[in-house]
Amino acid sequence: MKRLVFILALPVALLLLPSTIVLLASLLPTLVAFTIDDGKKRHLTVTVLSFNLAGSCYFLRQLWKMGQDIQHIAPALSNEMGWFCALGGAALGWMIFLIVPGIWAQISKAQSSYLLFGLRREQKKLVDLWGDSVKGEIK
Amino acid sequence: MAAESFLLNNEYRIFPGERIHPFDLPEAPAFAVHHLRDQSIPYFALLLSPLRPLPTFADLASDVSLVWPKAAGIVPWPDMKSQGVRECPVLIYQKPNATKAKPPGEAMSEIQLTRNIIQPAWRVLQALSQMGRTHRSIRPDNLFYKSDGSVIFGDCLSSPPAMNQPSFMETVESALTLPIGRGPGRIEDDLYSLGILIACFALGKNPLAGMSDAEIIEAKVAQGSFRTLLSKEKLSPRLEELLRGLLADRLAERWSLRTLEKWVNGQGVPANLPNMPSRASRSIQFAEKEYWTRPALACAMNQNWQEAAKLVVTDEFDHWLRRAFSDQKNTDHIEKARLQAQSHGPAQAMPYRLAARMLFLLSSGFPICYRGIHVDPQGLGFLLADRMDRTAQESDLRELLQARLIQAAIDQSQNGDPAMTVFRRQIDELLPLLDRNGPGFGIKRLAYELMPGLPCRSPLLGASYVATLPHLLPTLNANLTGANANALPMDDHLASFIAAHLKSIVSREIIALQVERNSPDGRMAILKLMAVVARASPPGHLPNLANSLLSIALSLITEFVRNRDLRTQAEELLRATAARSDFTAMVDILSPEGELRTKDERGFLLAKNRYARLAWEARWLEGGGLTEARRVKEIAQRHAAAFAAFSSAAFLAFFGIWIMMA
Repeated sequence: MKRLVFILALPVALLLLPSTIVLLASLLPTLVAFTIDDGKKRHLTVTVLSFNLAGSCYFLRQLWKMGQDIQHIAPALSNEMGWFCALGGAALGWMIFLIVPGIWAQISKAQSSYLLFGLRREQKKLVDLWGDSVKGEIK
Repeated sequence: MAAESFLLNNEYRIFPGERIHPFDLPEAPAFAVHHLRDQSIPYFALLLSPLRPLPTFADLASDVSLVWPKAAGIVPWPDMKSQGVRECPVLIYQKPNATKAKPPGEAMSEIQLTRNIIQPAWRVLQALSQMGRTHRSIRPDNLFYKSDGSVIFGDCLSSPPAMNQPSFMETVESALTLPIGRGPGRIEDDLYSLGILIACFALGKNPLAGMSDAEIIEAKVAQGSFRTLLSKEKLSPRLEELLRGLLADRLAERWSLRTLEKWVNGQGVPANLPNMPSRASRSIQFAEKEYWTRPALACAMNQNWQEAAKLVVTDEFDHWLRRAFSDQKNTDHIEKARLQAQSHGPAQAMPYRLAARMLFLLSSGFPICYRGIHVDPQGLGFLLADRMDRTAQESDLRELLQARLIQAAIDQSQNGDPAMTVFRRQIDELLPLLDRNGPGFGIKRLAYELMPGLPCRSPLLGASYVATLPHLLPTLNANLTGANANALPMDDHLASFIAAHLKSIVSREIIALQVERNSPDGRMAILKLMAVVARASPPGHLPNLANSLLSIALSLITEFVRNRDLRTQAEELLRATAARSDFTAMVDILSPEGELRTKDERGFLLAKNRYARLAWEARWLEGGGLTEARRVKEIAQRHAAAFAAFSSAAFLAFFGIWIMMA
């Protein structure tokens, strides 16, 4: 699958070589994330890549405005606002990746309490209906 | 609260306050009776024990000189002990036109005896014989004397057969038997008593007066009845012939009714020669006394049971029995008796069982003797009925029955009586009932089985007399009030009485009763048994019993039905069925195979599984199933990645559109 994507993406990357070079440069934070991401499913890489890629669109817009040419790569990459967007996007991705587990822990705790309350309520209903023997061992 | 009078069958008014002592019998006091339609005929009533069956009887020809009941029934009788009333059986008799007082006079002549005693006696015994009955109460104080000197024989139904007979009026075998266990016997037993009666009238005295019962029996065994009574007396040859025939000690030699008829008609009857027991070639010592004949030793052994048990296991006894008589059959019989004594019953009681069987060998026709119990097979029912509430002799009675001594006695008598063959088979079938002790088994059950008319002695029936199944539930219902209202409507007597009347129909329910009565299974068994009885004899509306069974059923609901809603439903159903006294429907509601319990059981299993599943889930949550750090981090990062990917995709899509539009 990965190979198929690579085979399909490679001609496009060569065809749009200036865009590819600009994009590779602006996705450096993603490369860093990929390097340090030890998760099997590479969640950090995906998160950083997503926002980094969105931020890199500013560079692409600058490049495409000047025309798809090798000589326009340097002027495009020298745009400070472009780096702010690319790196800011990566930072946002990184931040979301770090903040969400804490938020999710709180959500899980609340969900656990709610579910436990429901289970206890259902158990009590069963005991009310069938008596304490319903708690017995299952044969 | 003694009532003044009671009405029986809307015909006879009985006055409990008016005793008629001349008609009293040992077991049955006599009371005045007025016939409502015909005041000219004098009647009296005999009050019977409420523990005994109400006798059944057919009409008797009026020319038979016997006091015979005209009616019978149950009446509420003042009970001095409880100050209330107790239902008792009564027999109504027409007063004989005769007096109890013996007319003054010396010995009767042969002609007087024939006319006054023998001819009436023959007619009485003939009539009874045709009804398949015996009298067993022929004795001097149970006679009424007419003005012409002839006698009317007194009642024979108010007490168990021969129970009130003095020993001297009875054959040796019957005299050795406990009075309650003598049984109806045969018409020949009546002829023997008649012989003694004739001898007393012929001599004008009791020739055995002054002798104790034991001395009389010993003398009869040693010399024979005829010689014991009449060896010193002088009688006419014809009378002597009659008495030799009637007083023959061996049943086979005793006169029959037909022979007596011949004698009454003046025909010659060959005289019996006294058949004395064979004498041994050498004596045997027992309890410091020498014995030469088998019956004499048997009588002595019977009176000294401990020594008898020691004697029968000695070689000396064995040798004496085998060698002192020229009887080859003896050896086989001894071996057989030993084998059977060893086969049936506990080992420690073997000498007693052997002694009992040896008594049969020593004297054929001997009653069943086992320790202190002496009973005729036919009297077993009466004995068991009498002893069933006494625990003192119960183990001896059980041993006697389990040792198969009844069967041995019947086999030994070899009289070919088909009734005895049937009885033997009945005993064989009933013996397994002794293997258990619970309600519906044991001595009580045997008593109710052997005495079909025996009233139920359950304390739950109070002072009521219940001898038939259709009366049982209505009476129980009437007595389940006051202190009894909360009592379980079952006890050993009720279970045995029902089992004896319904036999195999209730065998499953009776077996189910063999658990703790208050346990759920025990209470369910009571309910089922009552339902079967109600089906067997539909009793109508029984509110008290229905309430009692309803409280049992309601208590069972909490045991058997777990679902609260089904319980409520079952309670409503039970209350409705109890209101209709429909015990069968009550049982069906609580039946394990019934719709309600099946539904409950199925639902309970599902609920139990569901509860267990919920408990597992709760444990998982409590153990941090949802909040476990690694899991939370994993999910959160996945969600963050997904959120980022979707957001980015959306942005790129907008960005693409914007580029194209720009």
